[in-house]
Amino acid sequence: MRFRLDVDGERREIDVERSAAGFAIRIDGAVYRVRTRSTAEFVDVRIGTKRFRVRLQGNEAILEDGVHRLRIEDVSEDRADVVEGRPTETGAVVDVRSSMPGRVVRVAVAVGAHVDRGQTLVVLEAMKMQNEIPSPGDGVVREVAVAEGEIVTADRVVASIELRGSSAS
Amino acid sequence: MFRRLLIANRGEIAIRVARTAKEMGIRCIGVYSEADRNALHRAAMDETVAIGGPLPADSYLNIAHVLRAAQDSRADAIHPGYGFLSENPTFAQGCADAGFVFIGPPPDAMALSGDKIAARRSMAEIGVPVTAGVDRPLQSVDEARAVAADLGYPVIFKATAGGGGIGMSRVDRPADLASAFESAQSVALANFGNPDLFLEKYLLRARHVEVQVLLDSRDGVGFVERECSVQRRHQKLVEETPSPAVGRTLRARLIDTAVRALRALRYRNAGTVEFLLHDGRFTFNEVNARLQVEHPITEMVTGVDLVRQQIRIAAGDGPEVSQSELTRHGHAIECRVNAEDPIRNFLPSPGRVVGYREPTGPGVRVDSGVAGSSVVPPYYDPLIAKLVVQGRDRRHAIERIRRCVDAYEIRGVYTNLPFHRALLQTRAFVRGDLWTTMVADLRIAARLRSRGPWQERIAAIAAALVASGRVARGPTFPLQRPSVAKWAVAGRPQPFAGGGHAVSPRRRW
Repeated sequence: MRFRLDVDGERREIDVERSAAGFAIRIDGAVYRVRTRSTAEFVDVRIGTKRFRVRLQGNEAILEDGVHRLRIEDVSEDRADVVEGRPTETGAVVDVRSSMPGRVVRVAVAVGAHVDRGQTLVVLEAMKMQNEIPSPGDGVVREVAVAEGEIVTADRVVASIELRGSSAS
Repeated sequence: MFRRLLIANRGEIAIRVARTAKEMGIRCIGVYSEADRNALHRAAMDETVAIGGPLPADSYLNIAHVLRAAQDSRADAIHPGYGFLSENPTFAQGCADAGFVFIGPPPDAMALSGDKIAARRSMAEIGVPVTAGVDRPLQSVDEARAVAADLGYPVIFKATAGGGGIGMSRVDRPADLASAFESAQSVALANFGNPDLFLEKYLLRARHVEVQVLLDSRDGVGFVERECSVQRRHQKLVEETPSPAVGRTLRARLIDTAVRALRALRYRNAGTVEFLLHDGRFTFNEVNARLQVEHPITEMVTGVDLVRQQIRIAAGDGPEVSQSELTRHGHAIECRVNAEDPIRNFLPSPGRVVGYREPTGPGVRVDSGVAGSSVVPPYYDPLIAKLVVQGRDRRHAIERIRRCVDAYEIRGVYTNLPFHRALLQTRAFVRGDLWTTMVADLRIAARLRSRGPWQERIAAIAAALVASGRVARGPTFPLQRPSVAKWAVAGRPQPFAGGGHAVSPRRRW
C-alpha cells in the first residue's frame, strides 16, 4: 500500500507492507519495522526499542511531543504542484495558490510584470488578518486569476508565474 | 424596563446578551448580514432583521442600517456587545437622538475613554499613576526620537484613537524608530481614520491586570481583578481571575483606583480600567468602554450577571449588588477559541464546522457562536467560542480547563485549541508567572511542532493510521471518515465552504 502523508506541512510518500510480525514502513528509502497494538483511544507503536503512543483525533495525531497536523493523499491523484517542488527551472509555469480562504483585498501585480522571489502578488484578508502571497521565484506574471474583492477558497490558484533562472548566470 | 432589545452584534456575544435579556422578559431582536443568514445567533433571537452585505462596513458597522433595523423592529433599547459599534460615540449619540436607550456609557464619557491621550491626562489629574510617556500627539519623527531618548528604549507607539491592540508598535532601538512611526501612522489612519500617535515607555515583563466596574449615578462597584497577560500580538488569549500576582492590599488599591477613574470620566454602566503591573507597581493603561470578551470569568467567581446589571443600569434601576455585598468563590479561567491554525502561525481558518461537541460538567461554561454545520465566515473576528471554567483554586481551575480543552471537539475549521493545550502545560503558566509577551518569548506555538527524530515519528503515525484502518479504506481523506460520519450534515454548499483543509459538506461518507 502506498499513500502520501503530510505531517505538519511536510509531505512524505509512505510504502507499507504487512507481514506476520507487523508492518514494514518505508519513508525516504529508510525501512522501519513496526509492531502496533491498538485500543479504542490510541495506538501503541514500537519501532525497534522505541515506543510511541499515537492518539488519532480527526486530522490530528497526538504524540507525547505534541500535536501533529495530518493530511493524507492518494498518490494516484497526482496534481503537478510545482510550488511544492523546486521551482528553479527556467520556463516552468508555476501556479501560486492561496494559503487561506479569504477576500482578495489587493492584487499587487499585472500580467506581464516582472517579479522577484518573495515579492507580494496578492494580499488576502480573512478575519481582520491580512496575508500576503509571495512569488515563489523570479519570473514573469503569466496570469492573474483573481480580482480585488473576490472571495477565494484555500488552495485556489491566484496567479501563474513563468520562472526564469536565477540572475546569477 | 425595556420591552424590545435590539442586539447589534453577532456570534457568541449576541447569543450571550440574548440569554440574559430573555430571562428579564425582554424580547430580543437580532441583526444579521448576508454572510450570517444561517448563523447560530439568529436562532437565539425572537426576531431578526437583515442589515446588509457581508462586509462589516455594509452591515454590523453601518450605523444607518443598524438604527433603521431598530426603528423597523420598534426596539426601545440597543445593546452593542463588544467590537463593531460598541465604542463608537457617534453611534451612541445616534441611538439617543433616535430615541433608543444605548446600553453602555454616555457618548461623551465614551469619547473621553476612547481618546487615549485625553484619558491619560484625566487619570494624571486625579492622581492615578500613568505609564511614562507623552500626552500630546507626536508631530514628527524627530519629535518622537527626542521623546524616546528621554523615556529610554524600548518604547511603544500607540494610536490616540486606537483600541483592541491595533496600531501599537514596539521599538527597541533608535534605528527602528522612523519606520515604526510611519507604519504605525498608516495603520492608525487606515483603522481609526486618525493618524495621531503618542509614545509610552514599553514595560518589559509587565502583567496586564484590569478591573471591571459597574457605575450608576449613585453606586459604584469594582470587581476583583482579571489578569489577561497571555496575549499574542496584543490580543488576549487566556484570562483569569483573581490574578496570581495581586494580594489583598494591592487589590483594594486597584479596585478603588478603577472606580475613581471611571467616576472622573463621568462614566456610567459597565466599564473596565486596564492597568500594567510591573515590579509590584501599577500604572494606568486604558479604559474599555464596553462589555468585555472576558466578562464571564468575573461572573463565574461572583455569581453576578454583568449583562443584567448593564441593562438594569441603562433602564435606571441600578445594579443589584453593592461593593460590600460582593463575594467571590474560587478561581476562573477563560480560553478564547479562535478559528486560527496555531501550527501555521495562527493563519485564519474560516470554513464550515462539520463536527462540534462542547465540554461540560460542574464549573464549566461555554459561550459559543457556532455549532455543528455552522459557517465561520471570513469577514469577522476569529473568536468563535469562549471556554470558561471555575475551580476551588487556581490549580483546580487549570486541571479543569485542561480536561475541557481535551474534550472540546471542533472539526472542519482549525482552531487554537492545540495552542491552549500546550500553554496550559507550560511551567511558567502553571506557576502563575505571566507576562504580556510570554507566548512569543517562550515560543509556545513553536512547541506544537515536534522536536527530535522526525522520521521515526512519521513512521509511527503512518503505522498508527494503517493499524487503525484509516488509510486502507479509500483514497481521499479516509482519515476523516470515521470521526466525521456521525456529524455528517447534508448542508448547502457555501461559497467558501470547508476552507482549504476542511471537509466538503457535499462529500458522501
